[in-house]
Amino acid sequence: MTPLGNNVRDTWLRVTQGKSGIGPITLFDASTFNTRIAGEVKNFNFERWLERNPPLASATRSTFFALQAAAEAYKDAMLKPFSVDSRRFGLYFGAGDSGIDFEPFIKTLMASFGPGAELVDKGKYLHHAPEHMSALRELESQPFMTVTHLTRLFDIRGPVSNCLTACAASSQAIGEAYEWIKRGDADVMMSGGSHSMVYPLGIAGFSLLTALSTRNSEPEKASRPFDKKRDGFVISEGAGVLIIEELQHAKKRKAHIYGEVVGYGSTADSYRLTDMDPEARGASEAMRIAMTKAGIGPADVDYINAHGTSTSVNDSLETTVIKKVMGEYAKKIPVSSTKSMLGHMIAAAGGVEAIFCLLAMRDSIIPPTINYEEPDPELDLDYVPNVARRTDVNVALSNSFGFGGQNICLALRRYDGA
Amino acid sequence: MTRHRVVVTGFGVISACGNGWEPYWDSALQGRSAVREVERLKLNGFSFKYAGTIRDFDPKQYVENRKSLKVMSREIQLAVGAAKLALQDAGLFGTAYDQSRFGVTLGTGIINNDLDEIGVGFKNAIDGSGRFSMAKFGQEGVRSLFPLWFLKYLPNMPACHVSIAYHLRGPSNTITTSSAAGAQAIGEAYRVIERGDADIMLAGGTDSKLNAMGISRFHLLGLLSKRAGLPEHVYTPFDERHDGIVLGEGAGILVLESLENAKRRGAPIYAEITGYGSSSDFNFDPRDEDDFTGKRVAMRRALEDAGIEHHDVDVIVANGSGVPQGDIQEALAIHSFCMGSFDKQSVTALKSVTGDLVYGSGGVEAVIAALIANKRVVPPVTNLKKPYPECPLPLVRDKAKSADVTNVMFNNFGFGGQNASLVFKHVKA
Repeated sequence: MTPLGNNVRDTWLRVTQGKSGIGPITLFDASTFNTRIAGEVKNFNFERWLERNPPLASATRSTFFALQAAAEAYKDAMLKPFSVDSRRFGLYFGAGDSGIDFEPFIKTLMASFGPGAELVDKGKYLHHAPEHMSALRELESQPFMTVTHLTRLFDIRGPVSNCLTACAASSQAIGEAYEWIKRGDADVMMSGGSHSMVYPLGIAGFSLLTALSTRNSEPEKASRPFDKKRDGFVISEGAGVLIIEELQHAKKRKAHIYGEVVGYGSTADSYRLTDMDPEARGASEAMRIAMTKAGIGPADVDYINAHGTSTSVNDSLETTVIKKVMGEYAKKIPVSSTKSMLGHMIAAAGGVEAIFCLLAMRDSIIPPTINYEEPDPELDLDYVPNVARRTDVNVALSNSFGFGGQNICLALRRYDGA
Repeated sequence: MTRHRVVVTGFGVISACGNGWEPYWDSALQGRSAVREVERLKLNGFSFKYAGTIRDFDPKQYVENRKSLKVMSREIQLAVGAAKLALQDAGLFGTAYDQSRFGVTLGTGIINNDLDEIGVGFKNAIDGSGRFSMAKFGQEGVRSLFPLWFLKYLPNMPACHVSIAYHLRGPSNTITTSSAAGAQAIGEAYRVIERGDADIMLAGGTDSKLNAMGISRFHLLGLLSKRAGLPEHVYTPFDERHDGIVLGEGAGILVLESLENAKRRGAPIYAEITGYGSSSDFNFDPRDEDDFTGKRVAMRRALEDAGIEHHDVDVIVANGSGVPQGDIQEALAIHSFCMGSFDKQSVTALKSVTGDLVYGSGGVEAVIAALIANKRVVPPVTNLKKPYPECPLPLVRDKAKSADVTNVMFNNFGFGGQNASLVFKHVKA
């Protein structure tokens, strides 16, 4: 579920065509905000889900995205009820939080400004909240509810977790799901993530941190990772869900295998909250750990799906990281940021990007970094500018660096049938 | 694959009982509740009378970088504070540990906005007709907010601040599975060390719902206790008078360490962590009294992970939130887990000591669970007078009980249907 399509096929087709999913914000009136653009999911039929599942009436956008993507993944993996032992079917998800239920909150708050010393009269707030707020919507806004719905609808009775490590969440979820299977705690795992921060306080928050692009007049050109004129990231929304399975289990049920998860590295920058470590030790270490676990070296890497947010600092530091880790191979490895087309889906980003790495292996095509028009002299890697590239991909790395200094790298490999 | 054994070598607790694990353990042993009448919040007559409020926590004692305090919500401050206490308790604070082999995993939830802080933005968005105007909010409203406001409320920030404050560059994770998040974070950190990805992890949870948005949400969900009486007596899990949650706040962090690493540096070992299991409830409705299978499955998984049988479990530290349906479900789960016979098990529950720390509950309660394995004393269920007839468990009452404890099962169950169980094992000194 992405701003470029409500399924894998449509999204992948447009990603390989270099299309942008960014446009003006329509979910609320953002006409006076500094940033008025985002990558919104379009034409999604919420009603179709509600007809069959009335308990979803209060669920959040993000939960619906997760369910839709999960249904597609479940079907694509040819899973059916009772086709797997539900107690060996687990879930490690990276579902984002859904923010404040805005309208009822405003109504409550407007009735609660007091004459006293404190701006908001807490007693009044508590009195007025039940008049405007819905218990179920409050419950649904909690970050675990996506998981609650997923386990129920897909009969997942194995181990369950949800991590929320900002922009690294769904990559981390995939890494941990892989570890659970390796350990033998489950045969099949559903993983990935979902998120929507396209709401007033989400835009306001990142805007105040000066992290967002303000190229409002050219939405499709706003996300321009590694380009000299990049001016921030573009928030988007959606979900990316993968079915990860123990190899023998997949073979036994003759499942189609897209690729193999072979490495996972997780580190913290431990530097400063608002800045990335200029030496980028944490991010480099995450890549090294993933590669060591995968038993691969720089010469083996055919593609890196970059975190590539289109902020000045990230893209410059990520370039440094790749140079540090890949050494003489750095300039030979194609590096692209699919965020140039999709924007930044925050907690959901890594799930979708891992899917792209696997599809690059299947179709021997590397998605481009679009809007790459003016090279930044310091940023001199092969960013697969503007046009997808036909080439075999056997090994791909996917980087995800979360706000606050959380770094994840996943190593994925084409399945060779052995 | 080598599996490293993992031990507990330090505790850091900040709760209504005080700072450090000692006052908390002491309160639990005495069956003394730290729930009091609410002072900190002025609630203008709204009936929210009792809570486990922290009274003597000064964040400046724990946060060296004063500028950082400005971007720390209370949950973050509590986590950074508890982390420092845990490092001190483990003899690690100020020592030269391998930063890249030291990580952190915390359970946290949505961190609620301070209404006064966020309210400025909305007040400045009121138009001439006295209504909220999105157009005005987009400019004047947003501009009047503290520029770093957003950073105080991202759920991963407690773990990020802890990693920054104590230079932890190993794996970092934040788990958000409702009231099971704290125990699940400990379980996940245990796995990280077990598979060799770190030597030491700080793990636990932090939370404070003692703010208008938090109280309001729990009130709307109908989960809060409505009882009146002596504050220290109102919170009564498993008692026939149980009628809901009394909220608390705090953070509990454990130092988990590979056995080799702990031995190498001669660290005192409190207990070994030998089992972890998680699950999700199988039915949707959290009020379904019959749906105890998910909870039982989490306990079974922790048991199998520890390689023991149900009769090897000596003590069960129950989740016991005081919400009647939850208590009944858990009692059924424990009953079914023990196959109906309790020849030597005792069951206790801890939430009435501090109030319910929600996403952070697993952090503090795991400290007591590990201490039970260490000290072989089981604290009573504070405020348990007459057990609820539908919860027929061998609950420890009135006073602490010495027992020949080897294995302690610890339950942490979330109201979104997520469950986590851990097993702590006695380690001979």
